[in-house]
Order: sequence, then structure tokens, then C-alpha cells
Amino acid sequence: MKSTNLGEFEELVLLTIVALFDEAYGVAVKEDLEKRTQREVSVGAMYSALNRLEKKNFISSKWGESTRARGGKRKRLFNITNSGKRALIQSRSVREELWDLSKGLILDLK
Amino acid sequence: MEDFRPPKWAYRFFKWFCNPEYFEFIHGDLEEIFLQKLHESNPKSARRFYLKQVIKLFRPSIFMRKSTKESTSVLGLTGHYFKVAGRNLIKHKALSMLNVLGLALSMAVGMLAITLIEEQYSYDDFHVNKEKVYRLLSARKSGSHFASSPAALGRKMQEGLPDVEAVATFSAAGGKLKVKNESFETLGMVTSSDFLKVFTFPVLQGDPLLLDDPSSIFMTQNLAEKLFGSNDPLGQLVQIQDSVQLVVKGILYDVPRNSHLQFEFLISSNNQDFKTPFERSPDNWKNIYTQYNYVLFNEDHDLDRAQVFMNQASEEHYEVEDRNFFSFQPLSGIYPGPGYTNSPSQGSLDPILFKVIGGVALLLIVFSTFNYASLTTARSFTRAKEIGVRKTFGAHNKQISRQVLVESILISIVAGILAFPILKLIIPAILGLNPEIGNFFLLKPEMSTYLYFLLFAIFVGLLASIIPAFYFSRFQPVQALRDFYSVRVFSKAGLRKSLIVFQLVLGLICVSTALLTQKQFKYELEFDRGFDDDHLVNIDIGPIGLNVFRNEVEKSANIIGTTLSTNVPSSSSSANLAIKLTSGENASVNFFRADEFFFDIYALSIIGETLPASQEFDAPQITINESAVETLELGSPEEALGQSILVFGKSRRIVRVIRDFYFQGINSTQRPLIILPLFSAKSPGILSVKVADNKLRESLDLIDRAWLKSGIKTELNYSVFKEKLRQSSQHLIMTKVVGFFGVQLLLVALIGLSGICKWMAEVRAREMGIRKILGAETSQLMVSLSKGFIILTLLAVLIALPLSYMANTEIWLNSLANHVSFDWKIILASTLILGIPASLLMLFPTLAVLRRKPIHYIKEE
Repeated sequence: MKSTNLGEFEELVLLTIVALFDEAYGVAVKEDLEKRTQREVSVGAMYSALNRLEKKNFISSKWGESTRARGGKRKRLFNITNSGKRALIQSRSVREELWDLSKGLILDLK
Repeated sequence: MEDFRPPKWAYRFFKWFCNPEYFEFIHGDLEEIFLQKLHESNPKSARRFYLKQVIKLFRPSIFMRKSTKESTSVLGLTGHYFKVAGRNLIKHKALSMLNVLGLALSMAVGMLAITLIEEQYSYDDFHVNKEKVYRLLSARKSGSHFASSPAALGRKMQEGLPDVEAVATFSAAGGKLKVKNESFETLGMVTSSDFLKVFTFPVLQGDPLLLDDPSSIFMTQNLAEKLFGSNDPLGQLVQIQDSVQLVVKGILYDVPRNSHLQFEFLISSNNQDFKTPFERSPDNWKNIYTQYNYVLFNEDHDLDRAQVFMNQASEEHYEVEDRNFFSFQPLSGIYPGPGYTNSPSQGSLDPILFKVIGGVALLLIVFSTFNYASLTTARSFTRAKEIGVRKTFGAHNKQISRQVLVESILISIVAGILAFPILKLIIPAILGLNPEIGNFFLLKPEMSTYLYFLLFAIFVGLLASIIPAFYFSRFQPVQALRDFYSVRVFSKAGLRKSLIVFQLVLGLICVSTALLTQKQFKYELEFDRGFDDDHLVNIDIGPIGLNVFRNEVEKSANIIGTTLSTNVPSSSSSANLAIKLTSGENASVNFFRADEFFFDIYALSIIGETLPASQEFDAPQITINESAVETLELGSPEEALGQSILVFGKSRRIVRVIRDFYFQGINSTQRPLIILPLFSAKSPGILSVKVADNKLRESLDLIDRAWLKSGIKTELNYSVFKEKLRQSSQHLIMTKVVGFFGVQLLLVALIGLSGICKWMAEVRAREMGIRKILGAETSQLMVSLSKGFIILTLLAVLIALPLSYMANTEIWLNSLANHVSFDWKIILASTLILGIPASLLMLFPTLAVLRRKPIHYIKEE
């Protein structure tokens, strides 16, 4: 059976895809991620994450339109699947549980 | 100029590794990002950025191709390949046998070539410094090359060139070693301790430097054991050359067989007793013949500089008209390598022979793999269905190819295993060709050789599978299933046929050449040389014990007589001598010495003689032959009798004139000859013993016993004249070698031919069935089936025999004074050698098809 674990970077990518909705293709995802996380994301790292997500069936993809900036190459548009959504919800609930348990301590430190 | 494009090679690299499924959109993304960067900063950093992205893309998830359906169980499928391969081989037993046999035959020759070549290249591999050791060669102005060079040159290089670490200078010291009155023939070298520095001949006991002690001798373990048995050899005394006393100061490991230098002992060059007078003077540059120099250079040597140094030395030490030139030869280039006069090793095998053997092996392998491919694809009409079904069920081209691959590798490994016994049969046959061949090779495969054999078998398998794999995988499944009879497999028939003919032609040329050389060999053996060469035993003999031995032998009733001479007709060449004619010119005449019995024993026909002739040694009388009468301008043979001529500064009377006989080989022209009486009782020579009819065996026993009785110390070395003639005949060796290759080539070609015949018969089985039903005679059908192949065979004969005739007569036959001709017997024999097996091979499959009931072929409709 394939692993259905959601890694940290994968989760970010997946969330970005959801946030971008119809416009989730390589460059857009990369830029969005870079803007939000303030770290550089290489095309290789991103596509390897996208590949993993697709293999785990969390996202689906289809061909998009081509633009002149792309030298006439078509975009690949990514979309979240239902199992992707489930994985996000599950990951979030785990976090919330943990937050509930540790909230006092973390805020105390401040 | 600024470049506004992404780096081209980075793009190409990306395109190469990227999974084609991802290529388009990732490429688009990269373009877009590059353009953005271009706007934000300068082209240079954009390009750098692009490159970085490409490098970071180089990861498995991007370059790995998504595995297709076959990935489910690779292991299971491989097993399946083997299973199907096995079934196919068993199902087509006859074809598989042919394939295996053809491959095995050629692989045996291939393995022979591998063994030979590996063995030859292993020579001198054990020297630690082998890359830095060079031999110094000398060349006379006349262009003759020598492996030897003056010792003075070695010394000069050691002193004058900083690149030189050490120079091993040595000369050969043949000889008898004597320990307590027991003597042993062996071979050694006179050298210094630098010899052990340059070469890796490890010293087992003793200090290597002791080799410079004039009284010391180093010997190999093996020799030490022979001389002293189990006693400690160190410190023992050895006598050499009957007078010089030496002390054993070191023991060496035995010299490996694959060393071009062979010796059993080393003695110091500081010992003056072993040097010829001209070796003794330290600065003798004239002697380029008896001493050898091997130079060990240091790590960063400059060969050009060393060459310049040697050129200067040559200029310095020789007069212009008598100059010797020096050059280098790397140690690794000595064996195998070009042969030089004076080589301290037994001559290396001619590299050309290598190429011939390698070439024949390669040719055989190409032919047999081609035959394999031809037979396998020819079979395809029976396999079309299988492949069609496979493809319909979704087999990839790759999987079909793999099936074929597994089959051919399986076959070639079986063939490889079968090739071993064939190789085992070939090796003794090759070693038996000539007693000297054993000096050149051992032909003993090593462990590593077996590894090469395995790799070789797999390689042959791969080679054999290329065409069939390509062919089968391109099958159109629908067509293959719908009417597989219509699959065209013989569309490239022209190529197939011409290759078969080519193989047959080569085989026939070899076979007819072998027949011709054999004929020549027999002819030379039977040739009338002008003397009686039957029942002759020749014995090398020195003066000591000669008379005792001779008397002992002559006592026997089995012995007709003996004669002592310095030369034996036809087996050794005699020396030349210049005689001044009355006209003042010089005539060149051959001569040798012989006693009075010579003419009787050899039954030379005498034209005239004046008797009684003196029996004394070096009496002033000579015998000459007819050619000499003419060359020396003595008139008629009768007139020549009694005249005197000046030979070796002495006037000698002609007491006998004999008819010309072949005293040299039968292919040299008749030369003038003078036979002088023996010089003295002490001159060593050859004792020819004439034996009575059918008493050879007893006589040889007798000679053995007489030798022992006469107390001669050297080993008895005799040869039976005819036997020696037989053994030393080049034509016999040629017959065997060429015949062997010819038979191999023919066999491989016939196997190919028979496979195609068999296949043709099967393909046309349905046609034959229908024709039979319609009332055709079996004989008619046979003609129609085998016509094509008979034409092929005839074509091969028609091409091969004229070619063979021309090549043989041009290349060697015409250069012989007495030779046989390429006649109809050879033509007939070669034709039959090919024709009989070929027609049998054609007959069987044809008959098999024709004998079956036609219904079997029709019912499948």
C-alpha cells in the first residue's frame, strides 16, 4: 500500500494548490510558495513534491493553455482531489489536537 | 554580446534526462521563470539561475520513466523467458542442435584465440616496474636490427642521464654446471645486481647485492634442488666451464614461464672468466651483438631526451661509415612483438599470426552468429503465432526482444560449454603440429581465461540475437495471426544466400589449399634427391668416444655402414667458399667435409674417379659435382678428373666427379659443390648410419646401447632422415592449419546451409502437398525443392576453385623449383568434400517433407 502521509512541504504545496484554485500550475505555485514562506523553492523540489502528491492520489492534473512567455508550451494545471482534501483535514485535526494540549505552554513562554 | 536565451547545453541536458511525460510543462515553466528573471536582473544571472534549476531537477522523480505494465513482476517474467526459451529449444531439437553445434565450433576457435592472446599478453606482466623499463636496440647502418647493444652504452646512460635509475646489462652464459663430478646442462646470465633492481625476479635467500661478488652464483629454487637435493644450497660450491669455482650466495624464485628472459642462474659480470675478450674491455662499442641493456627510468623520465642522448653517444663513438644506431623498446612491446636478430628470448610469435588467428576466429564467429540469426528468423513462421498472441495480450516490443535474447544467450552458453571439449581436442593437435610450438605457447587456460570465456559466450549470444530480436519485435500481430504463412521472411534472401556462398567459398579455398600443400608435402618426401635417403639415421657426435661408438655400431649385422661428415644433405645448409678461376674471377662454391664412405652410404652416382684415394685426414684431394665442373670451367667431367685446383690455399687434386644431387633443400637450384676430406679426427660432425631394411627399431636400440657403452657424456641426439624431413616440412604444418580452418569454415557454412534447406522445405511443405495431390512425382518435387541450393553450392565451387588456383600458384607454388600442380584431382576432391555433405544435408529435410502425407499440410486450412 502506498503511504498516505503528508509531509510538511507537501502540505504547503497542496494548500497552495487549493488557494490558487484554477490557476495552480508550476510557476504560480512556486511563486506563491516563495512569497509566503520567504524561502527559495527550486523547480526540481517542487515538481518532485507534486509527483509524490500525484502518486498518492492527492492531486489530479490536466493540460492548460499555453502562453507566449512559455515559448508556446502548455501549462499543467493541478487540482486537489477528495482524498487530498481528506488528508488536509486529517493533518489539520492532528495539529489542532496538539495545539490544544500545548497551547498554554507555548503562549506562556511569550 | 549578451545572450537572452537559456544556456543551450543545460537545456539539452534537461531534455535528455527528463521523463518525456513531464517534459513539456516543466520546460514551459522553466522558460517562464527564465523570462521573469531576465526582467528582474541581467541575462547572466538569469542563465545561472536556469542552470541551477536544471541541476536541481536532476533527481529520480523527474528522470525516472514511469514503469509500464511489465513492472508487475520482473522476476517472474524472467523465469518465464527461460521456461519458454527451454521449451522452444526442445521443441526444435534439430535446429537447436545445428545452432549449438555451429556456435560451439566457432566458439572453440574463438576461445583458442582468447587463450593464445591472453597468454601472449601476460608476458612480462609480473615486473613491478614494467612501465618504466625499456630495452636498448641497436641497428646497423645496413638496416638490420638487433635486440642487443654494447654494454658501454648502458654504462654511459647510467652515468650521463639523470632519468636513469638503473641499467641491467647482461650476456648469456650457457653452460655446464658441475657439482661433485655430476654435470648439468643449463642456462644462465652474466650480470650485476642492477639486474635484480630492474626486473622483478625476487630473491628468496641471500642479499641481492652479493651478486656483484665475482665468485658468487645465484640460482633458481628449481636448479638448486636439482643440484643439491634437500641440502641447504647457500654456500655450496659449483664448478662452471670445467674450471671456474663459484659459491652459491643467493636463491631466486623460479623464473615465471611468461617471462621473455629465461635463465636458471646468474653470475657476476665482475668475474672476468665468463667474458669473451671483447666483452672484457669496458669501453668496447664495437660489440653490439652479445650484450643486452635494459634501462629502468625514474617516474618523470623524458624518452625524447634519452633518445637524443643515445644519438649523441652513437655519433661520438662511431665513424660515419660504420655507425650503429640505438633506440628504445618498451618491455611490454617485446612479447608479443617484432622479432630481432640476437633476441635473448626465444623469438616472439609473429604478430601477424595473431591477426590471422584472431581474424579467422572473428570470421567464424560472425558466420556462425549470422547462421544463428538466419536459422532463428527462418523459423519465425512457426513462431509467428506465438508472437502474435503475446503482442495481442499486450507484450511490448522490448519483451519480445528479451525473449529472443534469453534464447540466444541460453544457446550460446550451452554452445560455450560444448566448446570446451572441442577446445581440449584442438589444443593438443596444435601443440603436436611442430615440436617447437610448445616453446611458444602453453595453451593452458587460466582462471581469468575462463571468465573471458563466459563473457565471450554471453557476447556471442548478444551478437547472435540482434537480428532476430529486431525482426521478431517488429511483427504486426494482426498479420501474424491472420495468415502467418504469408509473413515474408525471405525477403532479404539475396543477402542470406550471398553470405552462405561467401562462407562456402572461403571454406573451399582453405580446403583446396590444404589438399595442395599435402600433395606438395608427399611429393617432397618421395622426391628423388639424387642420393639414397632411406633407412638413414643421423647422429650429432663429437670426437670423444666416436671411434668406440662407430666400431660398436658397425659390428651389428643390421647396420650396413656409417659415414662421418660435417653436413648432411638436404637438412643443413653448407658454407660457401670463393675459388679463383683461371680467368681471374671468383666463383662461389658450396663445400663440406666427409669421409670416404660418404659416397657409398648415400649412394651418390659417380661419373668418374681415380683410385685409390687416400684415407688420410685433410689429404689434398677433393670430390666435385657436375655443376662445379661447369662453374670452375674444367671442361668435361672426364677432363676434370686429375686436375688440381687451389682450395683454402692448397692445391688439391680432383679424384672424383659425381652427379648433381640435392644437397640443399629440393627447392634451391643445383649449386657447385666441393667435398673435402675430413679435417682431422677431432672435428665434430654428423655420423650417418645406414640401416638394413625393416631393422630400424632394432638399430635404434642398438645405437642407444652403443652410445652408453662408448661412455660419451653428452646426450644422444639422433634423427631418422625421412622422419626429420617429414617433421620439418612447412607444408605439413600448413596442411594441418589451413585444413583445420577450412574444415571449420565449411562445417559452419554447411550448418547454415542445412538450416536454410530445412526451413525452405518446411515453408514449402504445403505447396509440395498440393502438388503431390495433383499428381507430381516425388523426384520432380525434390528437384524443385533442392534446385536453389544445388545452384548455391555449384556457384561456391565455381568461384572458390579458380580463386584458390590463382592464389596458390601465385603466392607460393611458383616460387618453388620443384612443385606439384593444382590439378583436376584437387578440384575433384574439394568439390566432393563440399558436395557430399551438402547434398546429404539437402536430401534429409527434403525427403522428410516429401514422405509425409499431404493431408498433414492441408488440414490446417
